[in-house]
Amino acid sequence: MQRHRLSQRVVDDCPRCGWSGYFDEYLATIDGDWSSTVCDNCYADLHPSITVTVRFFSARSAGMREPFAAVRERSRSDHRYPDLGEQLAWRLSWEHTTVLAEEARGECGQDVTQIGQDDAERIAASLAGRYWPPDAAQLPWVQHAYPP
Amino acid sequence: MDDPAAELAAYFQARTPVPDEELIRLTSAARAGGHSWASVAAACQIRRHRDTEGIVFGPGGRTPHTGAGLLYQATQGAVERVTGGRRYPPLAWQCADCGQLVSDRAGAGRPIHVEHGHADRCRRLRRDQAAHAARRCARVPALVASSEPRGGGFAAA
Repeated sequence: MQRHRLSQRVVDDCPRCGWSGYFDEYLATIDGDWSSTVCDNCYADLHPSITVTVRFFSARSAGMREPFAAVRERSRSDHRYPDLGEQLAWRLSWEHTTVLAEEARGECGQDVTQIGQDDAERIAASLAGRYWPPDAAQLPWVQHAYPP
Repeated sequence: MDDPAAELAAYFQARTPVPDEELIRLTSAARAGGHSWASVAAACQIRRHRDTEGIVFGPGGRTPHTGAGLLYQATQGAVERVTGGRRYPPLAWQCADCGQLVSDRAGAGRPIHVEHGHADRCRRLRRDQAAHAARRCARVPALVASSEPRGGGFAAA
């Protein structure tokens, strides 16, 4: 594995964890493969001296029975604070969300509840089944809300 | 005009609004014909939001925009208006190789991750994925300012 500093932030997808959005500063190659570069959080996850812990949440609109998204929040031993949080909603990519920050401030309009990884994966599978053909449920980051 | 991407590009060159039904028909035909969303957006010279203003309606959202993403979102909005169905409808097209109805989950990304519904061993999907990987291998290293040595530390590339 090798980490690379970007000359500018780029929009990309991580094929390992399903993050979709800005790669602000780094990406990493595994075995020199530039076709499947991973995000800096996956670099941390795979790095033997960095510890990553993850918490999961469900996000549900008021009055609705089913959550509209699973949310995950990473804490890295090389970072002082957890990340802002990422949500997986109908689009089936993990994208930035502000619901955890809003919840912390008591300003969140959604019902945010901490759940386990199994529950997050049930939400992801439900979203895949509701919105997409069956093979979408086989996406690695839908099957595993965090890479195994 | 036989090429749907060129047909759609003509609207953009003339700065003429594209009717929703026409946008859906042309993008679907372009995808079925082998175009990527990126190649259709490039043909239409869509790079940023203002390139779509007055021609297609209302691409928006939080995701950072690329030309492909803007065109995808505009088409998704057109399907939503025409069908009166749910928000964010799938954009489907018939794959000429495997014959399956394929749904695009996004305007960009690895074909194996964003084109859903292909048959196993579909040649079109394999070809698209190989082309995408080759483009990444050419493009991504050029975005790197410096590289750490394998296994830690930091050094200039």
